[in-house]
Amino acid sequence: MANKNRRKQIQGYVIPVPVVSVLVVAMLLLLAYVWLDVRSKALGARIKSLEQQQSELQKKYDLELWKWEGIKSPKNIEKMLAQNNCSMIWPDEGNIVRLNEPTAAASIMTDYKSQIAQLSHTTKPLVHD
Amino acid sequence: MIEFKSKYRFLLVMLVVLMALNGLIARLVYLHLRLGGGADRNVRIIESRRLETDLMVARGKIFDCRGNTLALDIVKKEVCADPVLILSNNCLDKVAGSVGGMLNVNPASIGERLNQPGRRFVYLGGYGRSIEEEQAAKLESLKLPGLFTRDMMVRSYPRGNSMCHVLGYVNFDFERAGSAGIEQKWNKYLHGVHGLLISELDGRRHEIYDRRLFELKPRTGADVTLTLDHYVQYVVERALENAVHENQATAAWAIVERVKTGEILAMANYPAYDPNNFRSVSPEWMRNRCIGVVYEPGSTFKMAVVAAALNEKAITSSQVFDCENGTWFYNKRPLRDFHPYGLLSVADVIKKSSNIGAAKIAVILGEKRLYQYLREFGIGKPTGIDLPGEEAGLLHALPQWTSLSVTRIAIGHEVAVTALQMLQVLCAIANDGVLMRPYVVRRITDPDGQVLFEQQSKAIGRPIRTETAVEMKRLLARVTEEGGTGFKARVEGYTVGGKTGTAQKAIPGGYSDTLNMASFTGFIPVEDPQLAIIVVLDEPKGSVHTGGVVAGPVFREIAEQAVRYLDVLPSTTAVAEGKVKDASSEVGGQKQENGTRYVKNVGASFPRKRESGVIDALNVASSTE
Repeated sequence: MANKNRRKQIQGYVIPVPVVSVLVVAMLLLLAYVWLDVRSKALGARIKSLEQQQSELQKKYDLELWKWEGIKSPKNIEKMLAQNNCSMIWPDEGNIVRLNEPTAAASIMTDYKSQIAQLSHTTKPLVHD
Repeated sequence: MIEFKSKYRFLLVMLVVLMALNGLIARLVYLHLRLGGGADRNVRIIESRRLETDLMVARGKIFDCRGNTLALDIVKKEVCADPVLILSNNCLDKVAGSVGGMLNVNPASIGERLNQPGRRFVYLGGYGRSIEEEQAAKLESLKLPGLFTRDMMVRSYPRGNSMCHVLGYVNFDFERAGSAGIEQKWNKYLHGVHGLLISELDGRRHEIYDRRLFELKPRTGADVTLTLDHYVQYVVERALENAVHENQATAAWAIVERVKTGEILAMANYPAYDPNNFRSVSPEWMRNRCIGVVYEPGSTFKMAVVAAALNEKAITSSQVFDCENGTWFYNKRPLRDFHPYGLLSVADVIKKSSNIGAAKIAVILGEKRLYQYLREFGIGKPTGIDLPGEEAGLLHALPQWTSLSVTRIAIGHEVAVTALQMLQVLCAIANDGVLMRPYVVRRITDPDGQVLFEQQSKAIGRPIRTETAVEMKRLLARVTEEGGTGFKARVEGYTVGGKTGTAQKAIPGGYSDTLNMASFTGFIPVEDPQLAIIVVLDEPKGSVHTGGVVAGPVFREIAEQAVRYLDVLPSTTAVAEGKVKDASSEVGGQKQENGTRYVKNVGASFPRKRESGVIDALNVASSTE
């Protein structure tokens, strides 16, 4: 009969493996739950702060827009010009250069065509440098 | 022995832990299942933690045709108080004094409002009264118990009284419904949808995000883009203000319309009001007179009568009428001219604005045809403009006409129109006989930029033929020439067509000798009409108060700036560049040779082209002036 190896004997109460497993799983679930809760709360706080920030920015933007519209109104511009002793007049008809788009385009095309025509009549070879 | 001890200790620890956990669980169950304390307490707990709030929604913005913001919602602060808290802290006088000074309200009235021991909430300064952010910060820095501020949406019009009659205003009630103008007519697009939030609060009265039970995001209202141009509008408003002061008139109103599309570029009334502060204004000032006030148009109406007669070929422009030297009896009742005239051609009847000539033309045309044409021009029915409060005007049904009606209607009496209706008549003539529907809203877009509604130009009738319209344009162009009643409406470099009108105001028992309505209706330039403008002055005072003298210069002031701003080519440039046909080259579809023959025949003339290219006209024969 072999002697008992005292060194290999386990001291104290041994928790069964299934219990340990359940406890570990429960612990992990608990940690996951806590982590998710903390995370969702943090996200919630962030969303709320962003919402607030957006609303504040919108408020500021609208206020600035309101002020800007008042500033650039013709009435205000005229008032400011008068305050600064500036006067504006409409330009004389002779000083206005009107660029009529189709006409301008047509004249450009005519110039281009005449240049091409000139080039086609030239005997010299074209040199690109 | 060791094993037993270890096991015992473990069980003991477990027992203690379990007992502690059980205690905690029991307490949690007790709190969460709300056992004990009675139903009231539970309800109070739930209510105190519950957050149910309407989320503020902004109305859509209103823009002019160039994208300038004319109306928008901004957040301001409203001052509120808890009277119970204020009274319990015995600081009623202090609060009333501070707030009264800041809101510019009598402290006694604030004190009265606060002295309600049973109430937990009152608006100081009145419902809908708001203060600026800086003022709110100053108020909050006083740290008065029971006094607090809240955000509120306020409809704001950054340009003050500009375009007020078109824009309208918004009420202060919860729904913030538009109550006049565009705000009212297009409220269903502008108002948006309120949001709703149901959630829970923590101990510091902050919302717990992950306890949100329901959240309906607010939907901002759609944006409305108008056809109005802020600068043209400003020019009109300034001109009207000056005219009212110069002529000591009661009021004045004007409209600028694009002839070919029916777009309204400006619609102004003076006096105007500030829609930011509409509660302090009398309702009379809020009326958009351009579409909401009817008046007897006077001589401007003659153009409709002559156009009808020409279209029916009942007369020709060369036909000469005897204007009876100023007094004509029709059905034993006299009809008088402002200045006595002898023989006048139809062209001169318009140019000189002869009542007798116009009445005779109407008699030749006949009641039935006159009535039909006036209806075709849209007299006596709303134009259908997309603004609220439009009057239909007054044109009696034919059976109700008296034997004198035909002569009186011909000179713009016994008939009532709005300024817009009168302008529409002119636009139809200027637009080669095509009547366009006037409109002020170009498009409506939701906050994502999607177009919900877009308005296109729409022809709604054709009261006269093109040839008649061309002939009428030529006749109306003569009104602003030397010797015409509308001489003061001339704009340098442009040919202007139009008609003056001076109508005595109807008073009980007849017509007033002193009160009248002076108006000028014109279009510019005659060769290729782009803009039509009507100016009406109510009760101008002064030695001369005719439409040509009083309203003509206002027309000129508006037109000369509007054409420059909108880059309408001057008559000289347009004719020289061949963009438009020279009005002098054709007369009613006939070549100028015929016109010259007419000049010889009746002593009148047609516009001719000077060497410089400026379209001019010869004066009428001096014998008729």
